[in-house]
Amino acid sequence: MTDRYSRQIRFRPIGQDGQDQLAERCVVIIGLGALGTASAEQLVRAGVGQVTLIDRDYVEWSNLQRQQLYTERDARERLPKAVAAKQRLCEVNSTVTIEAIVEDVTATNIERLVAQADLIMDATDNFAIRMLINDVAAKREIPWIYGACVASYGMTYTVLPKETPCLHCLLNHLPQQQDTCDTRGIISPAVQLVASHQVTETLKLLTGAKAALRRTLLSFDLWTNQQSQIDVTSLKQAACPSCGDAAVYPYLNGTPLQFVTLCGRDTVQVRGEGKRDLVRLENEIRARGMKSQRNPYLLMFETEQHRIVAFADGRILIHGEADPEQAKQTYATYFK
Amino acid sequence: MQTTRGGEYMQIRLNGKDYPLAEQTKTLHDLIQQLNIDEEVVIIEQNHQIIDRSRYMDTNVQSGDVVEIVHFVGGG
Ligand SMILES: [Zn+2]
Repeated sequence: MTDRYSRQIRFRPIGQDGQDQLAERCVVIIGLGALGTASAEQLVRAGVGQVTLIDRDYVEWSNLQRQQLYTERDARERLPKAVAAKQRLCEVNSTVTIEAIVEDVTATNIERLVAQADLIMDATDNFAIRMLINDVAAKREIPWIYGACVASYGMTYTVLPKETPCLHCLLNHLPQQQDTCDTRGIISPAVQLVASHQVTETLKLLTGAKAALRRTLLSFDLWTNQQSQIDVTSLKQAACPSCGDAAVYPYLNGTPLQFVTLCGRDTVQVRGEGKRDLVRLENEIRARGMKSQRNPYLLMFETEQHRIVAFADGRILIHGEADPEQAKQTYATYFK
Repeated sequence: MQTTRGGEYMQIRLNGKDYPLAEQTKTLHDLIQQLNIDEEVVIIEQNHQIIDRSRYMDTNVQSGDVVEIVHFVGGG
């Protein structure tokens, strides 16, 4: 056991001191797709004391190409990603305290979810959730690390409260998302490189090596061999609604939508009204003469047009539907 | 693609690589159009100076410019 971290401790900038500090820290990882599983594995192997894993989704076959913690069995059983990731990570390093949370991160619950975080690792897949992370991180003064990739392109940026420009300073508003991994694909090396940058910045921050931080907005394209770094310090806005002197945290204080089309997925997510009794739902579905599949976290059934997944936390995914209005009707049919 | 303006070969340094400028690429706005990047998610540095998003239309691109472009993506 004492040998576990010997190579990392021998790395001078970390050393025994840094290793001891890592053991005292908590990282909250939001999103457990490709980026989240890559950074979770590195952080757990590195011996960060507490790692909290949050994801709202379950493992599917198309995840296995790049989401490194999942197996065919996880996909067959449709295990929630947080649960499957925790199982694997506990095998990797049983000395780390790992918490798995199967929840949709919203304005309502995010402050509770990040309460213990020394750092928030962004491994999400859309701008709306990142703006929410950005708000809560500014409010609670927690550093967070943006990471994203699509195709062979990746980018990352480290946001330090009261120090660097925040995401809202850089973007001004919530952009429409155009490229997604579902429309343009993704290769695993792009994921790994973004995650490596994110984890390295995390190791620096958690061991107090702030002088070593990169301090730039970074992007690269592994296929076209381009890379770029920009010092964005000058973009910090004193009047920023998220990090400025009179911040109002607009995304944290906004009302969440009830029916949201998941970008590029031909899926509408319905945020439910609290926890759902899956056994009762299963009985109702069977009473309609339909088949369903249930595990402790979710229940899945298929209609003629849709595959519907109901989670124990109350959320519903309607696959095969991109129109929120249509989704409302489908929802009303089975859940009202 | 050989591109010239007034007989001069036009080329910028874009994200660390030489990049030939097309005849019709006159401004930063033209450049990001050509690169097929969404203007609202882009940060551009031209000759070590960040250019405000509202000024892409009237900021010219000159041969020899060093341009860095980072655009935000959402996937992960
Ligand atoms: Zn800001």
